[in-house]
This record gives sequence, C-alpha cells and structure tokens, in this order.
Amino acid sequence: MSAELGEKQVLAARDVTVRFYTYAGVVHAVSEAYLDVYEGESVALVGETGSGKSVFTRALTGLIEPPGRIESGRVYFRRRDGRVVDLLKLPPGELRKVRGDEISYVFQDPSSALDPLYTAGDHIAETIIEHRAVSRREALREAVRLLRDVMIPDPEARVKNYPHELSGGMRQRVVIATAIANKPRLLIADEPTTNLDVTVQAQILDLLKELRERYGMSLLLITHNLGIVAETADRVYVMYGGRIAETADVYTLFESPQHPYTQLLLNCVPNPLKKFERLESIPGTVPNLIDMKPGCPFAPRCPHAMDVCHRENPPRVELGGNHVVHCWLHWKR
Amino acid sequence: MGLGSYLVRRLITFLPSVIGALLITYLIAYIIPTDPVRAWVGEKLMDPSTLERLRKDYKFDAPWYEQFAFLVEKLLTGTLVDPVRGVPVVQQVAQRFPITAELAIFGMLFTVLIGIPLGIVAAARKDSAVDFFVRIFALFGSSMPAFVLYYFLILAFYVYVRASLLAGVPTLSPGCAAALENVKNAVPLLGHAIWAVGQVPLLGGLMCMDAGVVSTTVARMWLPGLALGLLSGGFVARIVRNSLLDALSSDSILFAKARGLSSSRVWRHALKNAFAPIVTILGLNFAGLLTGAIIAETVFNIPGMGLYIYQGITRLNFPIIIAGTFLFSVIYIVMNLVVDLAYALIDPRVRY
Amino acid sequence: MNPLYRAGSWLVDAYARLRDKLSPGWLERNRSRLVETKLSIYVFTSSKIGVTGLVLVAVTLFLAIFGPVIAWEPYDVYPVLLNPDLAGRLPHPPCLNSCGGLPVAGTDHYGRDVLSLVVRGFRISLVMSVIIVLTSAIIGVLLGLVSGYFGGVVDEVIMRFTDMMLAFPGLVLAIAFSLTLRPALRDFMMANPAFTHAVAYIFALNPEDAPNLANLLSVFLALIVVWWPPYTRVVRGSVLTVKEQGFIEAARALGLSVRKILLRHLLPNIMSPLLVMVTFDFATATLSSAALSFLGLGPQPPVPDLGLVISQAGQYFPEKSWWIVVEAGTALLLISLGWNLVGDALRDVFDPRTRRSIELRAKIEVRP
Repeated sequence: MSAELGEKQVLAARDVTVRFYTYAGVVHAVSEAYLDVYEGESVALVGETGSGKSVFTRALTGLIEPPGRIESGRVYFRRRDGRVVDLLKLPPGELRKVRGDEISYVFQDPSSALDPLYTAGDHIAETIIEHRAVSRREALREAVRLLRDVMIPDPEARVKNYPHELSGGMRQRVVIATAIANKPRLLIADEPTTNLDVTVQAQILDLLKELRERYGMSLLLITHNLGIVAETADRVYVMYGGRIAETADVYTLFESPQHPYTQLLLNCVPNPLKKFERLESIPGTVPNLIDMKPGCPFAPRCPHAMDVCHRENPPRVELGGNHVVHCWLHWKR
Repeated sequence: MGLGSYLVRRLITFLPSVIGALLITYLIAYIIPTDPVRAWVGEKLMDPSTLERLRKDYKFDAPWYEQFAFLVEKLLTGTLVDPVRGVPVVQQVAQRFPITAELAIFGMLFTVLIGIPLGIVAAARKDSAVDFFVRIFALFGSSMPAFVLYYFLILAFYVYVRASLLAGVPTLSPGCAAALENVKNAVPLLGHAIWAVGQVPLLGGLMCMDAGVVSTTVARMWLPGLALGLLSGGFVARIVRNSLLDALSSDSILFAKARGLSSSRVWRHALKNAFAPIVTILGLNFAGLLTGAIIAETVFNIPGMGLYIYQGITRLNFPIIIAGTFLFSVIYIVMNLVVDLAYALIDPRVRY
Repeated sequence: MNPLYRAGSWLVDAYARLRDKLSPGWLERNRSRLVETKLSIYVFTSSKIGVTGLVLVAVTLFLAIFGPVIAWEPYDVYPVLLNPDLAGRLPHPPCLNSCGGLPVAGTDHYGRDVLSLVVRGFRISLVMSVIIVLTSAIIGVLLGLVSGYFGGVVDEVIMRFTDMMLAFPGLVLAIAFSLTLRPALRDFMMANPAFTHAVAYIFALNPEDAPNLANLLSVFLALIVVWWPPYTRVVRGSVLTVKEQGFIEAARALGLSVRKILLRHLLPNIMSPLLVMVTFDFATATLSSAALSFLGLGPQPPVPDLGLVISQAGQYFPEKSWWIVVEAGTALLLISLGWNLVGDALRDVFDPRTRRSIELRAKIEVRP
C-alpha cells in the first residue's frame, strides 16, 4: 500500500505533459493529463484524431522519441513484486523490463506492427524469451498455446506463418497473443479494431474481454467509437486538444455528460430507434496544437463558450462519484 | 515451398531474356550494318573469291531465319569464328571471364567496406556532419568520370608511391590447376562448380592456400578495386542510410520497443528489414561491375573480357564485339536472376 | 528571404500579373498553384546544395553556348605542324611565366592550348547529354503513358519489349550499336550535306568533317536506343498508381478525350519524379558519352570532345599529360556535379515531408 496507489489500483498517472519540438513549432500534444486504472477493470480513452490519446498512452511507459519529450508527469505503477514505482523515473533498462512483461501494447494496424520477415511464432517467442529464462523450443510451444487462446484455428501451422500469409483479423490476434504472452497486469490497446471489418471487430472485442477475465488483466482501450465504449468500458476518459475534458463511469457519462464536447459527441451518434432529419456534427476543426496559448482548447467550437474560456485553462471540478469535468461552466465561485 | 515455385517461375522469364539477347545480337550482327560482310571483315581488303566463300559460310545471303539459326548455334556452342583471323571469338572472350570476375570481386569488396559502415554511421547520426559528408561523397562519386579517377589513383599509388602493380595477372600454379582439374573430373556437379570458382585466381589461390598467388593478386587488384569502391561507395552508403532510417522509424520497430525488446534485438529487426533492399542494390552493383569493367580494364591494363572487347573496338574487329555483346548480356541476365533469388531468400513476401 | 528567392518570386508574380491581364480572374483561379510554385522555389533556394548546383549549371550553360565564340584558339589547327621544332617540347606542361609564347594552361601533344580545347568541349558535352536525355525521355514517356493507360495487349507488347531492353547492360549495348551504326551514318551524312552542316553548326564543328560528325551521331543514337527503357518503366508505374486513384475513371466518365486525359491529367502528376530523373540523367549522359568517346567510339582528333582529349592524353600519362587530364577531367566533373546537385535539391523540393516542414516557416503569398 502506498500513498500514490490505492490497494486495488494498478496505475495512476498524474500531470503528464508531452511536447514535440518540430520545424513548425512546439506541438503541445498532451497537457497535464491524468489517468487511473484499477484491477480488473476496463477503461476507455475517447477522443478525436489529434486529441493526444495515443501520445498520452505511449508516454505512460516512456515510449516517446525525439523530437518528442515528456516534459513532466508521474506514472505510478505497482509491479509484480508489489513495489510501487514512478515509471517515468525508472532507468531505461528497468523501463524496458516493464514493457512487454507487465504493461503491454496492442496497436491499431497489425499489418505494420508485425515484422514481415518474422513469423507469428518468432514474434511471440522473442517476447517471451526477452523477459523470461525459457528455451526457444519451450517458448515456441507456449506460442502455440497462446495462439489457441486467442482463438486462431490450427495454431501449430499458423505459428510458422509470416504476417502476409494471415488475414487482418488473424494478424491482430497474433499481436494480442504477443501482448499477453507474459501475462501483463495492464494491456493498452490503441484502436485495436479500427482497421478491421465490423464482424471481426466484435470478435476481437469479445476476445479481449475473455482474456481480461481469464488473466485478471486491466484494459486501457483507446477508441473514437462510442459504441465500443458503451459495450466494453467500465470507466471513460474524454480527451480534447491534449487535455482531459471529462471522466466518469460509463453509465454516468452516457446519461448525463457535463462537458459540452462530450454532449456534442454523444449527439453525433444517431439513435436507430429515433427518426431524425439530419446527421449532427460538431462545427469547426481540430485545434492547432502548435504554440498553444492558455485557454480551453474546445473554446473555439463550444456553443457555451464564455470570455474566461478563451483566456484561462479550465479548472478541475469534481461532480461526485468519480465524475470529474474540466469546464468553466461548472465552476462555482 | 514457396521458394521452389518462385525459382521455377523466375527461370521461365530467364529463357525469353536469353532469346532477347540472341535477337539483339542478331540485329547488331546482320541487320543494322548496311553491308554486314564489310562490317565483319573490317576494313581489311579481301579478294572476291574469299569474300564469296565468306558469304556462303556465314550465310550473309541467306534468308533471315537461316541467318538467325546459324548465329544462335554458333554463339551457344561457342564456335563462332572470326572470318579474318580465324579466332574462335566466343571462347576467347569467355576464357577471360575469371579475370573480369576477379576485378568485380575486388570492386565489390571495397564498395561494401566503404559503403556499409558509412551508411550505418550516417543513419545513426542523422543530420550530423557525417551525414552531410556521406551525401556529398555520394554526389561526387556519381559525378566523377571513372577514367579520370583511375588515372589519378595510378598517379598516386603507382608513379609516386610504388604500392601497386600494373602489369600481368598472376595465374594459378600448375599444381593448383591440376588439383582443380581432378576435382572437376572426380565429383560431377559440385566438382564443376568448385573448378569454375577456382578459375578466378584469387579464389583458386585461396582454395589451394597459395600465398604467392594471393598476395600478388592483391597487389595487382587492390587499386582498381579501391577506385571502383570510391565511385559506388557513396551511393551505397546513401541507400544504406535511407533504408536503415526507414526501417528504424517503422511501426514494427515501435511495436518491438513496446514489447520491451533489448536494443540488440530491435537493431536486428531494423537491419534485417533494411538489408533486404540493400542486397538487391549490391547485387545489381556487382552486375554493373561485371559488365562495366571495360574502362577499368583498359586503364589498369587488366586482361579480362573488357580489355579484349576494347581491343576489338580499336582494331575494328566486329566478331569480338558480337561475341562480347552476347556474353555480357547473358552475364547480366544471369546476375539479375541471382539477385532476384537472393531477395526471395530474404523476404518471404516476394515468393508469391 | 534570400535574394535568389526574391528574384524567383518576382518572376512568378510578374508572370501571374501578365496572365491575369490577358484573362481576368486567372490569378485567383490559380492562386494555390502559384503559391506551390513559389514554395518550390523557396525550398530549392534555401538549399546550399541546390544553389551551388545551379551556379555550376549556369556556368556550364554559358560555356556551352558561348564557348566556341570565346575560345581563343581554333581546334583544328595543329601548331606542331606549323612549327615542327616545337615537337620535342610537346606536350608542354602549364607555364605560369609564359615560356616562349606557349599557353599558360599547357598544351596537348599537337601543341594546342588545353584550356581553349576544354572551353570548346563544353558545347559538345552539353548538346550530347541534353538532347540524348530529352529525346529518350520523350520516347520513353510516350510509350509509358500509352502502355499504362491502355493496358491489355498494347501494354504487354510494349512492356515485353522494354523489359527485354532493360535486361541488357547499357554500356555494352551502346558500344555495339555505335559501332554498327557508324558506316551507315557516314554514308548518310556524305550524301546529305545540308543535314551535315546543320549538325556541325549545333556542335560548333567543321562541317567538312563528315566522318567525325558521323561518329558523334553514332554515339548519340546508340545512347538514345539504350536510354529510353527506364523512362517507360517509371512512367508506366506512375500511370498505374494514378489509375488506381480513380480520377482517371472520373475523367473518362465526364467524357474527356484520351489525349486530354493523358496530357492534362496524367502527365502533371508524374512531372515531379520525371523532372528529378531527367536532371540526374543529364549528369549520367554527360559521363556516358564521355566514356564512349574515351573508348574511341566517338569523334577522333581534332574534335575537342572531352572524353577523347583525356584518352589521347593517356598515352603520355603521367609526366607528360597530367594537366590535360586535370583540366578536361575537372570540366566533366563540374558539369556532372552541377546537374547532380540540382537533381538532389529538386528531389528534396518534391519530397512532401521536407516541403511541408519548410512551408510552415516560410509564409508565402501571391500578391495580385
């Protein structure tokens, strides 16, 4: 037990800021973002392209490369041996041991994530061997078992296949197999189904749910698809312009969203039961994150924007029961 | 396996290429010259009866398909004979191949020694002074006229500093040559292959562990090899650099890092992916060295195929040019085939 | 904003104003294209490599055009014949104190001033390389466009032929073609003095010297035959990629004629890589034609072909001719280097990543 992490808590990220120093200027990809993940739960991180969700999740394990830099932040994580560490303060060697072993990633495009010159078995085996003292033969046998766990038919044959010999859905399953190979505490999935057909999407999500239960893993799922959020998440974080806009458990968020962005977002999803005339959308475009000035990033598009919204960063307002919103509208002086 | 069927498929395109080579050689030998007999004979004056005999023997007055068949037979069996001097030109050109191959091997050695390390460093230190230097080096390499560079290297390393030889090419010792002959006769296919490889003096010398042959060969060939290496080294370095940078920024490398793989394993992924296209470039470079050797052999006085063809040019010996064109084309086609196969070995996606 | 960019920008503005006067509203319609052109100029002029290359190319062009005029010695007069007792001292090395009236830059074995020869050589080199590349490019691009657009049997036939040509070592084939074409060309040129005169004028050579002109043309034609296949292959590849993008289908659905589709829709899309390829090829063609001349396939003395000059110097190398190789060799080097530098910079100009990153700093606009 420690001050930073609750008993059943797996991860606590605080105050994470990531900037990219490019030719065009300084890109404020993530500003003062935070996140909590508890044991066995499924957390969704929602936002449009450019909201900073991918960069944020990569920053959690320090997976940011120049010209990006993690300017500040603390990411508390409880390791297998029970110790609580700040991942961002770990030396690179230690951090490398956490990745692939205790925290794993699944990325959006399985075709580009897998190395075309290595077989499915190679990928899984090498992830196992890197973190555990196991012979290659044993690792390959485990790879077959893992492929079976992710419901790939005929795993003994598939383990020798190269990525181009597998369909999109199977490739993503292979990626998932490598991710769970060492039974991580936390699986971070960055839009794992966006590149797949709808039917395969459902299968992958079901698979993730089943693996979660079987391995007692927590899942951090990044998506822009609210349907998936409703289906799979326990709690939700909404990001906009590199900042957390709102967070709540899934029912509260869908029933009474408080941030104008969340409200408009939910509006955009058509209800098949209701007859409607127009498809709703949010007017305006994604904010320019270069050389950002203080102020709420959503202000230019917000129908309720006030003067103060354009001038000062919105405050954190606790609405009770896990529900937090960052908006001047809810600020009571 | 996929590789086997790929090999078969690739061989199927090999045959039309050889036929194409024969066709073009035929065009050059019989069709394009306004007076083929005059071209074959050169500027030499001949009496009418000899000319008549020539016209019949070489089928100059026969219909095109007879001419083509005649040429194909002569070229493929290696029995094409220079009508004026009675020299079996195909054989003459072919037996100089090992020397040209030796020159190409030295050139390749230096290209790889210069290009690959430079490319890796340029990728590791992107946008640094080294990177800029590699870019300039590559640009100079492709702008420098080869023969000018050759003359200057000769000036530096032969005239001012006697560090190289400029005449003769050491051949295998009798004992070694005999031993290779025995191997060829004893073991069927493999023996022939070993014998063939051993014809290249450097390789034969290495196989027989003949220090004399090897050291004189090196003394003779290192300078032209260095010249060739300087000319294409920069280009190779640039390709290596770009290929490595592409591989390092790919998603599969990100995924590898996200799995916590050690940096040596990550580099292995990157290098393997980067080197697939590099092998192709190196292979094509080697093919270019084999077929572009004419100028190097002329300036460095190396008695290979290229020099023989150059002599054919200056002495207006047309049959040599015909035989040379055909043989060089076949070599080039074979090298391309080898490169494609090597690439298929490395990259499994190509086999389909 | 560097001065070169300001000059280029002014040119673009002037052109835009002119077009706008001729057809009002043109500037507004083409504003984004003008801004992109200005961006290209900006990116190019910001690159040290590009500007250096441009300077070299400018010098090359200047000497190519005016070389034969400003050269101070005729190339077809052999001083050694006029003055036989010079023979023992020839070739004469460079002489800073002007020894006995001999040229400062040294002479060749005929007694001619090497530098004057080299200055004349630019014309031959440039005309050869530019016309070879442009002709091959036109042939190759047309074949590639037709092959890629029409597909089917046409594509098969053209590609089989192109692949056959590509399967061959270029230099070897060029040598063989050059030799076989020579006699035919010689006869042709002897029979057509008007043509011979025209060729001689372009190359600034003696029109009476038909055999040498024929040799020059044989190298020229041989290289063209060998040079076009890569263009066909590249262009066909681009056409196939563009076809996949669907807007060719759209154009056809709108009823545009084939010619219009090919020229106004396909061609502009492949222009950038083509331009880079052509520029690099100018360098390669310069070296290739020099190499063929070096091997003796090109013109013979007294023609001031740079490759020939170097090969002649080879006999006396090194003590008695190193300066000849230096001067002629440097000329070839600088010509090729100029084109290669420009091509390298152009490649960066058209690379979307470097373009965008520089664009955000540049803030370019087009003023009406």
